[in-house]
Amino acid sequence: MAKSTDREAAPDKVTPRQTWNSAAQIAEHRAMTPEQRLRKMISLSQAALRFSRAERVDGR
Amino acid sequence: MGDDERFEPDEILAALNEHGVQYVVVGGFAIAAHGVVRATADLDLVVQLDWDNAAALAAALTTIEARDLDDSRSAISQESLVRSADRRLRTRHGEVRLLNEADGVPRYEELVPAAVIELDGQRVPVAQLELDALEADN
Repeated sequence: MAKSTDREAAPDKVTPRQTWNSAAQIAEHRAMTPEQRLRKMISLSQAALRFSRAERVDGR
Repeated sequence: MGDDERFEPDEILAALNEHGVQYVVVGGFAIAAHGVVRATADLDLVVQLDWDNAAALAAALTTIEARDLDDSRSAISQESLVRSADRRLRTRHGEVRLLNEADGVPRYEELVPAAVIELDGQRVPVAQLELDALEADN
């Protein structure tokens, strides 16, 4: 009789909850040119820097 | 710059604020708000999961032309957002992830009261937990 193991029980496909490993997202990234990837990274980094410089206003 | 490269989180947050959406920023941008900048791919949000907030969220997302990246047939509606608020969306201002059902991410009720920062005139609630708890899997 076959015995179920954790390995067999593990999901073998990416689900929407595992978007960090989204095949669609990877495919989109691969479809971009190096320049597009760089522009996107710069845009994201600039936004993150603006968050880091934002003033906290909740008084705590 | 093409739409895929654009990222304007202040415009996304302005749409949410304009519609009165109850949300908290988590993930890389929340960490950045606490002074630690690292690479991130999108704006991660946890939203309050109730009928009224789902309506406000749907309205806000519609104004910024959000569409589901994992299921292009999935509508951005009050009904669908109440059913599942764990989605990856592309808007005209960049990508947004709703992480309401993601493993390891606190619920909205656990994240409020949030820290509040001001970003280009917008008051933005950001998670104020320990850094490990803020780390979304991006």
